[in-house]
Amino acid sequence: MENNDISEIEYLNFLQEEDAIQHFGKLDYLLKDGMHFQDHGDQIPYYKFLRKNKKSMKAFYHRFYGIALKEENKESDSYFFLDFNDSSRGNIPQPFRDVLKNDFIIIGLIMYKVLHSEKNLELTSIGKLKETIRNNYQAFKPGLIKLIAQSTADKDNFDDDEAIDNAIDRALRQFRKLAWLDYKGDTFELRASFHRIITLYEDIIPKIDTVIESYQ
Amino acid sequence: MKEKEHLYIFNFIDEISKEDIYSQLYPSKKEGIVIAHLYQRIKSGRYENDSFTAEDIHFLFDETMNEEEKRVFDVKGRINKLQKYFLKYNEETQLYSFQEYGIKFCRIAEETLIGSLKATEIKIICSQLKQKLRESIGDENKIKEWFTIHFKNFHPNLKQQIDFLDRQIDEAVEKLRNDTLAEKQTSLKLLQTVSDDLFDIQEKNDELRSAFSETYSISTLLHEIETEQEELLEHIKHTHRFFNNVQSRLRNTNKRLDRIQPKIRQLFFTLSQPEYSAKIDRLIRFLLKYSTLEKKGNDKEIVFPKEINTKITNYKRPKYLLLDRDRNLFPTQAKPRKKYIRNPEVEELSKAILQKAFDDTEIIENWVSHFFTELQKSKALDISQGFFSVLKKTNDFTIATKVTFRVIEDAHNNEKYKVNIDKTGFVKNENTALWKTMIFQK
Repeated sequence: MENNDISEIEYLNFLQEEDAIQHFGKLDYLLKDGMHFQDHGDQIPYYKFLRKNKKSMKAFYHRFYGIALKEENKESDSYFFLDFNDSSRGNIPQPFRDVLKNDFIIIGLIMYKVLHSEKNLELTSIGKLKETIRNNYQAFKPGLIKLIAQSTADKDNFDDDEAIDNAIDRALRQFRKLAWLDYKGDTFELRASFHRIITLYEDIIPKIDTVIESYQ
Repeated sequence: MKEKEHLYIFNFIDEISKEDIYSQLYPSKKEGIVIAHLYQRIKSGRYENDSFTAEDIHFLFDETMNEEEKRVFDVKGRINKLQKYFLKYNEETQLYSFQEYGIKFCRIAEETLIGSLKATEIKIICSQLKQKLRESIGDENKIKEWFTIHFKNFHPNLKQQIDFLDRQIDEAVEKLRNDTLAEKQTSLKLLQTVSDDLFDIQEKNDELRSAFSETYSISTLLHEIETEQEELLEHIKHTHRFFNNVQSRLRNTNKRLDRIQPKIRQLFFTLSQPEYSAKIDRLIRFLLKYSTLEKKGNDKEIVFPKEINTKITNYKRPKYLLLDRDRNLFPTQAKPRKKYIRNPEVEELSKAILQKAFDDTEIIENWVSHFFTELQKSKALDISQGFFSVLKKTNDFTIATKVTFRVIEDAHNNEKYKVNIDKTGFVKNENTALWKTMIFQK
């Protein structure tokens, strides 16, 4: 081989793995769909593949797509994902960009607060989650009614509550696609990757107080 | 009969509701603590013959009271009250000791709090129970004994074990929640302790599950008991229900721990970033307050304040263009259909040929059955002659041949007949000669 530079050829190493044929194609689709991969359930073979070929796959995505394949580990179990925000935006052609709807981001952050910050360890029912978000956080309620239910009502009412519940359902569906959580029937379970909702905003969270001040 | 009547008259609720009886059975906190101290000291062998003096009791009461309480508290009266169920006084030795109720009272509390039995002990108890039951099979009295003596003693202990584990999980989870509700920053140390606690509970639960595995074999043994005794059937039913309950509760505890433990691990991040949770909360409030709705098509969309960057979370899948030839757009060209013109002459001819074939079949059948009837009548048949008579009658060589071969074949395949072909003798008629072939009925 003419090219002796190891870093140049490393990005292809993972393709020579025995299980690459079985895993890489699907894994590539799903990573681009925004899915997060962790050592859990059906994802275990993919997670192992990622673990094993971390270096060369990172090089591959960096070289051909200009996107960062990352492994995050927030003092908990690690998870892999493609970070479309870290690399220069120009690398993702406009028609291929997709963003998480802002409704879902708000719901995701509130879920993080309820489940992580407030340590509701045994809250696993979707019904209970909806009820908690609707009823236990009066400070959030007017904002939820305005933005999520898109209503101008100044009193709690059934229609607005229902609209919020439906938005939570849609958010959960979206989060499941990202593999931030999973649910079956009324029972849901967060994955370690649910931390991503926070790391996604780690540029703004530390300086939020300054931002808020500028609005006063 | 008299005893039964007596039992019937006794009303537990009425009895226990009586003010003095209730307070004699369930002491006040101060009394209870003193009792617990006495129990503890007996257990540690501090008192000779498990007996203690009035002075010992007074001393313990004193320990639990401040000066003001000491002034107004009637210790003598309390001791008197406790003598109803808890303590007994021996006039000869002038010493106090525990009544059975007092011992049981303390023991239940103690066992409930510490989760008395070790998994290894349960394992031994279970296998002993199994052994005893196996030995009793076949003897109804022994089986009854097994239920009323061996199993009954063991039953409350088992139940306690399981209650205890669930309560420990409650406590561990509550420890964390309490801090949050008090708006305290949970310390990493506390989180670590809780995490360790849950790990221990998990281990204990696993041990218990393996310890209780013998109960499956006990259940199987119980299934095998054949009896018509009401009492035994009732025992069997209860015991089954109890084991099922135990096993399903242990499984549930496991599931509960499986759900909590990963979450505890996830909490470490939240805690290692002090102030972070509060900032997340402020971010949510900020978004809810300053985001606006903007019309986009028929819907309105939430637009975040300009400081919040849009986040790309996935790569929109390209629409893969499949270059498939669409059959609807490019249908295969149809081939011209060949038309057939009806020809009445050919049709007539074909019909005649077909009709002849049908007729021939019928004629052949008739000749064959004719020859077999002949054969049965005269016991012998010259089928070479038969051939020529068919030929003569029908003037059709094919029919004559088919009839002859059918008869020879059927006779050959039937045990009732014998075919005899004489290759030296010929039967001749005009240009045709046949070996003389005879068929006989055996």
